[in-house]
Amino acid sequence: MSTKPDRSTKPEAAPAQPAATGRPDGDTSTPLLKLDELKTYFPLRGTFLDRLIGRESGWIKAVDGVSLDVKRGEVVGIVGESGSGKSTLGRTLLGLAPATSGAVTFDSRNVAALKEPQLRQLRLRMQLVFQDPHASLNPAMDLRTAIADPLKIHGITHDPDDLDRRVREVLEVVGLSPPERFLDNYPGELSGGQKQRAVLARALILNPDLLVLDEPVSMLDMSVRAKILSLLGRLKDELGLTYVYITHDLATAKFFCDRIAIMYLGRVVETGPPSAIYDDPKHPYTKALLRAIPDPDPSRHVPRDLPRGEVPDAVNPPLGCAFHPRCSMAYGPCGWEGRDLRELLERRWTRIPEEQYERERAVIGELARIDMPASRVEVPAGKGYQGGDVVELLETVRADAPNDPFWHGVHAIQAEDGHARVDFNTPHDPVLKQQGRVQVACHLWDPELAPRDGPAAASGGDGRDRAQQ
Amino acid sequence: MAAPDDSRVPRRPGLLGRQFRRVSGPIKESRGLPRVVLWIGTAITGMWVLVAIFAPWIAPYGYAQYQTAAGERFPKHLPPNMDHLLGTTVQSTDVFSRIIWGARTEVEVVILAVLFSLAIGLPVGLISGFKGGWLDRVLVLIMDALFAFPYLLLAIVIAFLLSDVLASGVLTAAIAISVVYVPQYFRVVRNHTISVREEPFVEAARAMGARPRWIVTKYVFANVVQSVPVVATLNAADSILTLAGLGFLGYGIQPTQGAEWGYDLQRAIADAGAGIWWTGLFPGIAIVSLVTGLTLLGEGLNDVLNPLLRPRRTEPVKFPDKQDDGAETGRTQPEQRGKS
Repeated sequence: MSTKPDRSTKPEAAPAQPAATGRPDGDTSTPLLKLDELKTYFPLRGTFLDRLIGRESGWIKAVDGVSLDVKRGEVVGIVGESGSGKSTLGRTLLGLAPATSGAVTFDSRNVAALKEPQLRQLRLRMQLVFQDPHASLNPAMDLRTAIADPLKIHGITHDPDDLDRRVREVLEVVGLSPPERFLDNYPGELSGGQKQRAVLARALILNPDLLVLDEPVSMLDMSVRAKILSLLGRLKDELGLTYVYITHDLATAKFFCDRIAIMYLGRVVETGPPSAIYDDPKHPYTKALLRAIPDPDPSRHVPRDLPRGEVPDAVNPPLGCAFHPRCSMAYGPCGWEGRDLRELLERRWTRIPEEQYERERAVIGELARIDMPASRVEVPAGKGYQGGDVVELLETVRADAPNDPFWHGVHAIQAEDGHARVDFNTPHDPVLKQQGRVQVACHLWDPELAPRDGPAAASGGDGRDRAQQ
Repeated sequence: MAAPDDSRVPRRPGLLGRQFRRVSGPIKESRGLPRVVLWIGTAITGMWVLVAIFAPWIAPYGYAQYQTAAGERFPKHLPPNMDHLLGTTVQSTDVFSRIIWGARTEVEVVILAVLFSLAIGLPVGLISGFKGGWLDRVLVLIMDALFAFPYLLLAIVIAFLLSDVLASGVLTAAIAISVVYVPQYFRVVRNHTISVREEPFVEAARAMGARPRWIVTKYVFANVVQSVPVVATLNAADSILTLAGLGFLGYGIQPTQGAEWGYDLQRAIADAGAGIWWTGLFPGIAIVSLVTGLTLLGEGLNDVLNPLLRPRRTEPVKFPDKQDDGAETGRTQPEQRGKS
């Protein structure tokens, strides 16, 4: 509450704000925002019966153990595919989604543990800009009311003249000038870029320290994107803001961020300065993302070894490294399991002639029995077949594609009564480890796990060969 | 910095004014059939409202008056003539006067009933939809239970229960009717609130630090209230029928308290067999015309206000005409279109 008198004079003092803050976290050495093993799980709505008897039907692990520091004045980019949990991470930062465990320390207070009334106080200093500027403005409110609303919510001022003056100022700051032209407009009467500027104005009128930008430009067209991003960059310097920039767009992240964290399935797989990540990506997922950036030169046809398949199910993420089923460089310790075997078989069966498929399919019994996250599965034999037949089939499959990374993870295949037992290597969870200028969570870079031939050889290994076929 | 007088702004319309503009804009823009329907509905409804307001000046006699000021009793069952434009009833009352006074009763009851149902249905629906959870479940259950009753039966029970408590027949009837229609407002408002609650701008308001009450009043309400005028008008039409039904069955406005069309119809049943048509026909026409007017008004509003039904009007592009001078183009345009 003690900051309030200070705030009432702030708009004028805004450009000098970094110097003016006498807060204990004013220096750049201690992070403004610190995430510590943050987890956000959402309960899965099960079937009617599950709900009736109160059985828990699982959790969607949207954010699964993220640790990250954001220093004052820094722009930290959080990059990932859809479904990687980056937006949930942003919402958890602000306390809009409840954290399951871990801590979000903002200004020496744990946001994750605060109750709603205390959070409301904290929201004076941390604001969110949404992806869709149209949907995040109330269609029944003109800009004057919408932008002044945060001031009224926090009781900073109710004086109409003061409100009017501040709204005009902040509209000028975000480049909606002259303000008279926009004050009485409804959001429906503005263009996308103007709406996003209005959303920014609404976020900035409280003079926050931290702005979480959740894909702020992805709904805007290209020409407007650059303008909004350069506006954001200018505002950061002028108002001393700190940004968490959530995006799926590596190109803007490179241009905009001081540091980037690449997220995959709720975890950070690689983090470091953009220059290091773009020049020498370490994690196979980062490499794949960078390869996926469209190439403006149509004559150059670069083999894009894009990850196969989709982002896996966040309810039952793959064992070990979550990226291993899609990774061309995966090997022994990455966490191979029963579901990968099923996928391997199904992938094979879509390629072979139909009669061969019929023959092979008959050897194996119910596929659902191997479709589980376990390091040891029993592959049931089909009607009239024995465990030995299954082993034989699996060996044929291996002989046909010995380079598939899957086989690095198979420890042993044994025939048993009525089924074949497949033992996989023990899965290891990758953790972020310093590697040059970046931190990367990948077994290829973990000296303790001793990759097949060392990372250098692995990066030029079978993944490339396959891509060039 | 700007001079202080620069920041002075002309008085802006308040929330109600802006809501009115949001509603009146599409009405002004409406074209074609919806516009015709809307204006016919408005004209009929407006006429009855005027009749209700000016009833004492329009009606030649009182609603229960059966004799002249001099004490001379009106004849029974007099066919329409110059003294009694629409004839007289078995009780020697003037049919025309009863219809005029009846309009006043109907309009009073309907306005009160709509206000009561709005006053209950709107806030309860907002809270139920916004809060969700068990409160929502319980309220939906109660409202669905009310909805499941035959509406006339429910109105009769309420009117019967209240008749001893409240002296005013108009108030009793209004409350009985509003109980019948609260579930409709509740349903519409609650469902709309649930869909608005999930909009990003509501989460944005939370992210700004707004309290739930602030979010409901400033962000949800204005987006939900737009569906209310349509429901209110259509319900008003329906409640005329309910009121007439109550009166017909004898549970509505008592004959000593005011004229009521449903009651008149009930009294006219016996006349119909004897070839006395005017006592039944004219109250019937009155009911049908007011209900039709309100229904047309509601349907017209729905067509005009509902963005899903409203056709986007496109302005024809006017090209400068090469043969004519620039100043003339605007006027010659219609002809040009007619020829091509």
